[in-house]
Amino acid sequence: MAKWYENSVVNDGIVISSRVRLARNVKKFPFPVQMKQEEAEEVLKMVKDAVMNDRTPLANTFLFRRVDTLPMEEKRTMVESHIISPVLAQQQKPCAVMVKDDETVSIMINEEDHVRIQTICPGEDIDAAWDLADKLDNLIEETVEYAYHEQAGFITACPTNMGTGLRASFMVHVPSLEKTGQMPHLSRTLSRFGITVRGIYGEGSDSLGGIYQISNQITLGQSEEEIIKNLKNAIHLVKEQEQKARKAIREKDEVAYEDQVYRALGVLEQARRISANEAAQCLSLLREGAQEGIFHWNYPKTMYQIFIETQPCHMQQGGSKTAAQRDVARANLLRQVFRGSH
Amino acid sequence: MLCEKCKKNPATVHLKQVVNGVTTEQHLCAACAEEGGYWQDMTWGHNGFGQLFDDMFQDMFHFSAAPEALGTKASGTRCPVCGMTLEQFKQGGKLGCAACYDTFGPYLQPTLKSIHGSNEHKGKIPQKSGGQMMARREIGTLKRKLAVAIEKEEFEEAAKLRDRIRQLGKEE
Repeated sequence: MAKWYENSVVNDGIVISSRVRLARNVKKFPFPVQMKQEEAEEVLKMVKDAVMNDRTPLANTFLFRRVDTLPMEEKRTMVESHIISPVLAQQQKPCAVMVKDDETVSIMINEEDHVRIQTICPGEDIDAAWDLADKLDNLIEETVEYAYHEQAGFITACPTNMGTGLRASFMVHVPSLEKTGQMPHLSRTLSRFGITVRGIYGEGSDSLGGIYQISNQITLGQSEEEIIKNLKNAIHLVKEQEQKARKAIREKDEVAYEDQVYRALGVLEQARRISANEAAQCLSLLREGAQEGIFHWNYPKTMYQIFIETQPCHMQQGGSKTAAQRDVARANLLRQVFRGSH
Repeated sequence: MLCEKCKKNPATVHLKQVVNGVTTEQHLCAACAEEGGYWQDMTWGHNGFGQLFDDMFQDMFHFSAAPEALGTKASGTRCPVCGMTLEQFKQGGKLGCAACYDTFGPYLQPTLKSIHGSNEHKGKIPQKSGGQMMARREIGTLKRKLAVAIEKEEFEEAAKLRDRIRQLGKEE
């Protein structure tokens, strides 16, 4: 089954992907922070049975993975792919994830809340991501009663998620806004509208390769549709600003702009040792260059796919490696993609 | 106003405590407040709660935001369902169970308003347990529409809305 990030749409625009996350808790059970082992096991079984049962065709497309017993290396690899959150990777109590074969859906059990439904769609399609998350939410609710309060909505462990429990986000590639130092200003502007700009791996993380996450901050007092509409308005602004910045940089010195792109290609085709950070920078330049029509992206993988596959834990697979060994393995992988040989 | 304790520095910290219905007030300078341990008790950022939220929220947790709520009586609050104490909640910033929402209500409500600008849910209602809630919400929406219709003197529309409100009221 092809993964969502293999879809060429992921390469085409400023928006890489659209994601929706819903936080829910099961009625009458303490939240993960307070729950006992046996309670955690019980919730885990209830939620698993709600999704993976004989009555729904979903069971065949989902893979259930117990997370608390996995080696840390494997958990980190799943974090890099955005299948699980860093919080779930750290969870000591019984916890799990159900992942759809194309990785568009992952349902985490006993993370900070009992249930975290996450849906991802390639490109700019937040409505489709919301629609899917909403349906999965209804499916779980057929057999599991949620903690819900008429005034507060869905009760979540953290007050920042209370109400709709909805975090809608766009993963965007905005290298020119980053280059021109406009991100802090944009971030401040958007925060006035209840929109947050974060690094690629969420709260507290840095940006890598010009990739950021733009999401709603407010979850209470607005309907899901209003939240999504607000976020769409924000993304419109981000895209407009990025396009303006690209145009300005190109117009200033077209040759320098092209030179940067081809130098990045040269590094990816020839390097014998490369860090995750440098690889991300080069991939970012190439993705932008292809979008600007400087050259044709004629490779078997999308930029985001290569980006994920060259992250440290992904490079670690197949045996333990030192940082220097990972850098060599990364360069090999990149040469294979960009030259078709070692 | 000078600090009540040292009587030298200007009083910048104003404490108001309500204990068993008796209100006491203290006006201190920052140094005396810190010496007395009040600062630690009362500043959200110092006890870990504020660290939960992004920096952008930090300034929402003003020192004077909830002094009444932080009286000595309330600090012993414990959730009867999951056993989480107010101190634990303030440290970790996470509720222990759904009942904590009511238990820590006096602390939570201003926080929710600070974060979201509202403490009233307007989103999805669960299908299973939400039948009556849906009807109540629809009645609220219809009543607002009815008021607008009457103001615009659209009486035919107003009559339809009134009938629908009555019907929903009966169903409820």
